[in-house]
Amino acid sequence: MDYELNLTVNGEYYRLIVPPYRTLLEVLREDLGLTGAKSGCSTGKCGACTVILDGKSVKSCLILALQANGKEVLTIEGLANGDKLHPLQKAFIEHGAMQCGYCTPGMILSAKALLDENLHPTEDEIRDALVGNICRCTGYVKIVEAISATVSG
Amino acid sequence: MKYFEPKTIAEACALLTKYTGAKIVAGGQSLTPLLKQRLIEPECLINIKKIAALNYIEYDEGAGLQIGALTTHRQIEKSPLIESQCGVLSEMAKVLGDVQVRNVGTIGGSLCHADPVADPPVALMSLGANVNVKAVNSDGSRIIPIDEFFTDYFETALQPDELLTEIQIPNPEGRFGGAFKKYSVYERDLAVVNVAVGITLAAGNGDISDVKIALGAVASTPIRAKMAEEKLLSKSVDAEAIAAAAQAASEESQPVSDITFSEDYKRELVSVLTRQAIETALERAKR
Repeated sequence: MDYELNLTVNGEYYRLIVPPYRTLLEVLREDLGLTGAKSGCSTGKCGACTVILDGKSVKSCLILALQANGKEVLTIEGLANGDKLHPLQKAFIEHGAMQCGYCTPGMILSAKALLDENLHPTEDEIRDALVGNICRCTGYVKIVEAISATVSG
Repeated sequence: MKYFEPKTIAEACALLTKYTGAKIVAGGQSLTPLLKQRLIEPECLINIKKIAALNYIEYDEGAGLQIGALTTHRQIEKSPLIESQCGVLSEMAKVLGDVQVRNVGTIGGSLCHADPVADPPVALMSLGANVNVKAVNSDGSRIIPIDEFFTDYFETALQPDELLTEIQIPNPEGRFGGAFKKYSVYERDLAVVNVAVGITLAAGNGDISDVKIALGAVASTPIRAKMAEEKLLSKSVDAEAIAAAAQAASEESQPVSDITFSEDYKRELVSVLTRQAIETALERAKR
């Protein structure tokens, strides 16, 4: 059986009809064409699928789409303001915090979720917020530097 | 596959009675991987996250700490009330998975999933917790002591029409100290071995009046290391007694060799983590 799904994604409202076993990641990528969130491991370990759901970072491959009914989703596509990049995006570029870029949308969104609730995280707190996001390329050093650079004061 | 979102406990229990092949979805952080791997194919999913009555953290002198089944691991991690009344739960929640999983996953879900490597069951076992469950025909709750809740790999004492509603942690009688220790291949991974110890010191002479040592990932369910506990009970404890308890815990555990670690290595881990947990719990009880 299929059920109605009402979703606000990056400020835009969508109404879809989905079966209960469809994941939020599948809906975002396949139904809405928002391919910023990635499927890395498909078992909920790598965090490449991370999005922000009602203000909290979640792994969208572990969220059934219907669990997000009536909620607000922020994906990496919704971060920039037109041509104006979000400070986190700018910092990642300036500090060379990407190599292949596959983990990057998830990393940036996990960082944003952290900064939204903690304005002045320590390095330990930044690393703790990134535990659920795995990077094969960078060794995390530049990622942590880029996020620290956006922390003011 | 059908899907429901009950708004009350009674509605959820009625659905469980009607659909015998139903699975409850709380956070879904354990269930959804099973669905994706086609390991289970339930006839329906019952999403209980809309039942607001199941999300709370309360404390009173009589009943102790009461935690609603839908309380997320993140809420437990961040709760000042739990930090002050039951620090070992905060300690456990901080190293459970990652932020994304903790934001959505619930303590009730962790207990009902009954993975023998899970962290919350071990911590709760060291606290002598009780699990409250409700069924559609019951007026009150059935109370299941945590030691009786886990029956086998991924199996619990829950009847098919029952919903876990609350975890209750009674107040300790005396000066209490708890500690949770976990060893994993990388930080925040699933435990290779986890251990929780709860020690209560008697008011007068400071001897150990109660001790609970819970071991996880070394049997088909989390277990109490009762022979280890006997080495410490009614004693003013020294290093020798702690070593004896750690050794007993190691012998009581039944770990299985796997691709990463041998049975012998896991037994050694039990010994080390038990010793560390006892030392930390004692130190906290004496404060």
